[in-house]
Amino acid sequence: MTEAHPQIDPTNFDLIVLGTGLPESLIAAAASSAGKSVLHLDPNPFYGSHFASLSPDDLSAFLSSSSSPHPPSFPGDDPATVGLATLPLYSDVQISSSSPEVIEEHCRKFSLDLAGPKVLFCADKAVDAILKFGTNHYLEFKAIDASYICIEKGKLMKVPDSRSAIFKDKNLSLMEKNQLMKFFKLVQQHLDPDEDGSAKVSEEDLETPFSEFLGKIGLQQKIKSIIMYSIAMADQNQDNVDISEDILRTKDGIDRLALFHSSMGRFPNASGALIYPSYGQGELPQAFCRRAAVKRCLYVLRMPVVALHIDQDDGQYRGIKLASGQDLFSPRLVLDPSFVVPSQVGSSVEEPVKIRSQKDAEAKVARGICITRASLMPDVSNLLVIYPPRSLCPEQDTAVRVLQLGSTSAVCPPGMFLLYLSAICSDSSQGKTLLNAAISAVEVSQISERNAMNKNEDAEVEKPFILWKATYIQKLCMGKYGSITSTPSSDGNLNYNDLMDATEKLFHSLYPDEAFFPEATSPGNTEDDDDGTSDTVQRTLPLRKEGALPEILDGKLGQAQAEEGLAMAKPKNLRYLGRKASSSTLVFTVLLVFSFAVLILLAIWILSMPSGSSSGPKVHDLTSIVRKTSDWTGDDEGRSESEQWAEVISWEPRAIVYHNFLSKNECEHLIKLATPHMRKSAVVDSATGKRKDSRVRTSSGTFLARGLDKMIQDIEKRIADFTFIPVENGEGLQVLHYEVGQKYEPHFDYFLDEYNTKNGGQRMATLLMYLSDVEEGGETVFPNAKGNFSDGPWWDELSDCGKKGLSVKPKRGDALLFWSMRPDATLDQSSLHG
Amino acid sequence: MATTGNKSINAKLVLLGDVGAGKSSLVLRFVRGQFVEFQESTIGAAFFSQTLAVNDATVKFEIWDTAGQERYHSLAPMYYRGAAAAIIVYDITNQASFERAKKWVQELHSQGNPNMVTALAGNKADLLDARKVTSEEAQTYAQENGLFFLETSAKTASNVNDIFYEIAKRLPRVQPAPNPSGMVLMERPAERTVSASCCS
Repeated sequence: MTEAHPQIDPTNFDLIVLGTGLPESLIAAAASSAGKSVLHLDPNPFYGSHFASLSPDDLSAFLSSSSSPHPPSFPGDDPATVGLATLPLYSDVQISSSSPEVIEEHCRKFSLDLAGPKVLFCADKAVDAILKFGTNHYLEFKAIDASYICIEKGKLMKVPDSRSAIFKDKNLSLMEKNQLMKFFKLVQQHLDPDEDGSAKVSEEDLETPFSEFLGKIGLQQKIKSIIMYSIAMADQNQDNVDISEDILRTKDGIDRLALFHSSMGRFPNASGALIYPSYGQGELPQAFCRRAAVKRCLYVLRMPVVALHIDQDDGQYRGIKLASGQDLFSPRLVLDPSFVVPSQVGSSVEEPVKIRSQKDAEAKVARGICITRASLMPDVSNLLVIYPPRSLCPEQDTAVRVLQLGSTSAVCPPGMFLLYLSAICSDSSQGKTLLNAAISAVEVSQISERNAMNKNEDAEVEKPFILWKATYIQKLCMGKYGSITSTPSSDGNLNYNDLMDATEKLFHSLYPDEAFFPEATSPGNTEDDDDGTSDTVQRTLPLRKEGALPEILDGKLGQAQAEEGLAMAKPKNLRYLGRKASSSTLVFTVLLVFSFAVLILLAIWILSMPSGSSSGPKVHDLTSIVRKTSDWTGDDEGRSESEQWAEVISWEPRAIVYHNFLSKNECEHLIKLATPHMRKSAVVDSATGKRKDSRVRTSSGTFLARGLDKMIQDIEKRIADFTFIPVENGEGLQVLHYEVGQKYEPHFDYFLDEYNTKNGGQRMATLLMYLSDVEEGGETVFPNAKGNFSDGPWWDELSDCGKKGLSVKPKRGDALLFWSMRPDATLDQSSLHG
Repeated sequence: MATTGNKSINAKLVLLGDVGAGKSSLVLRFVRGQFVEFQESTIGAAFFSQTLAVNDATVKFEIWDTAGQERYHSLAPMYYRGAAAAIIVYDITNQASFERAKKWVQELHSQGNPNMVTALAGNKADLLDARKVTSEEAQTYAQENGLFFLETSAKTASNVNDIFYEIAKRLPRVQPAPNPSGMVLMERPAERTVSASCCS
């Protein structure tokens, strides 16, 4: 289904983004969420650019094509159209394989990260962005089970990163354990000082080098290494001020420890602080691109851009020329770091967006990928190994990090493992030396671990441990903002924090007035968002009004007869629909709550009632009700089918069931009116009087305005007649829908707070009308009711839940009236219901 | 990513097909019971879930719509990952869309999981006068390629529920789990437990 360069429609955009790496994808997602029209292009056939996860073949091809410069292919005779060139991001690419046939066989099962090793800290900025953009629906993660640090040459020890890990550790002496415990406690006290902040780290100390501070509080070199390199993830040798231009200050060190510790236990399935996306890091840009697409960003892969259109007067960027020859225009352009911004563009100076800890432009990162046939550690497949400076060789000035991932992360076939290595370096030969030293060290420790485990199995040793290996040097590029914006390249860090900061700054330079993160009301509840622009819409089928099911059944019968040729329109399917209708526990109830302007009025109203009833046109006595009942029977055939009668079910609380209060037509009418407006029910916050979501109540519902139409006016009138409370005192009808498992835990309808009583007075009574029948459950229960409720005739029909108190089983057309107040206007505790 | 347990199955379902074939309309009809005559080509909501009860299980579909990324053939591999079912949609009044649907079937075979339950939906079946693709032709193609075929109409709701019920019935009750599924990040993970209560 390849189609050579389709024409793109429209041709004008607010923003064009070239490259689908993580920063570009984030900018596209943020700009689309802010309502900008965005075109996102990539010359490659895959998402992710320099952040992609690829098969070994595709990775080799991409690395080799991105390690040589591509001069502009566009003839440069027109000064208004300048050819777009790329610079190589990679150099010294070396790929070798000891078992090409094994790799070939499983080629498609590998997802190799171009920018590895990278992980996410559970509390870091990338995780925040994933949650804020709602991309967590698209991604799954695996925990990194353990991290190790090489302290003595060739020996790996598990990083004691938590209290329990320190306690269980076998490599540390008791004194070392004490030191580490005390230090963690100090950091914790510094981060949240409970009393007077006496244990806080002083301001002076915060500005000193972290290593100096650790020495000052009396930590040994071994403990310092563990803290600096395996928890704070420092890159450069922190004890050699002459060489390391990038020394971690105490303040930053403590921030990194704080990130590590807040990451522990943030998500229930992640035992440690670190997680890795299933199928590889390349999933992250894909997720943000999908998010952007949902917000109407237009995606075109396999679409090279050959030239840029430049305004001849002011040298500003105007648009792009595609390989197809098509011209597209936008006021802004974002390029991935491999593209060269032509010198002809822009009178304004490009400003690098520098993040404090980003290395200077001369620095490089050496990366390595190995496919191995065994895990470094028995029983652990996802792990991190840190080789601090000087642990591999005396010349080693930067930490080398090794990340191993197993097939549980869906990045390689079972029985194989991936190793990612990286080290910051100033030149390629230094970088290669470090990588190779680390690969040898890993092989040595793997063999010693295996020998320790299985002394007898010598046959395995014959086979090579590493099946496939790639090493390459990547340039570090900073993001730049100017007439054209360039995104930063992947950095040498283990996580994306610096990259996220740089991307957010670039976005704010592009759009100073827009928020980087979309304004999500509550990311955890996006299912409830029903405005059509939300990414997630969750509905369960029973929400469909009951009346719709027979329609579908009818429609299907007709369809089956009309199109006999279609084998699939089997009447057999009817069974499932039919079954669905009967087995789903559907309850539509209508709640009507009466309220009074002030509590005092209630007494007056009760007192004045007799006179009102004797002088007014409506005589509120039983004969009147009987007469009215017969009136309705005359004009509504639906109701005449069933007999209407009232039944007092309890005096404490005062509760009465009016059987067949509503007709079948009225029930269906109410459901029909309410169905389009259903939303998750809220409860009233007693502090603010506002609606808020609550786990106490899980139904969906809507309010119908008072007197919305003739039928509702009739119902309200009837309610007023039955309850002797005027229509004006009623709140609007509220239609609620409870599905299987949905509930509103026992509650009172009356208010206990000031705010709500001011709003319309105290609620006095509630009339619940059941709009549908249920097979089981759905009862309204009064747990505090008094009386021997178990001898009622319906007791045996009740569900277990309904037996907890006085219960009313829903039956269509029935109405339940209960009073939240006793006749003396005090609140009735026994009206607790759910 | 169909996971079984206590007769409840979670299944990711993806929609494929030409622009304008009616993928989104089909889902909107199924999930919301709505139909919009002139549905915008890229809709805001691209992720739906809908639960169906079949005779021996409850199937919770996670329905992924293309979010318009199919327009220039730029669907991400993420889209196909872990999908347990797919519906390939074409427009019966448009022969080209049927030819494109065949291409999507090939694409699915190369990208998706081989055990995927795949349905072919000839949509816009209400427009009988404008029919260009006969149901026999599509039925033959479907049989040859191991798909099941229904002609649907999102407008009249004809066969829309059926196609989802049929997929729910055909989903394997016990899924081989090559990759134990990872965790999904949630803002407040501990609070997502649903307490089962029958009370209203």
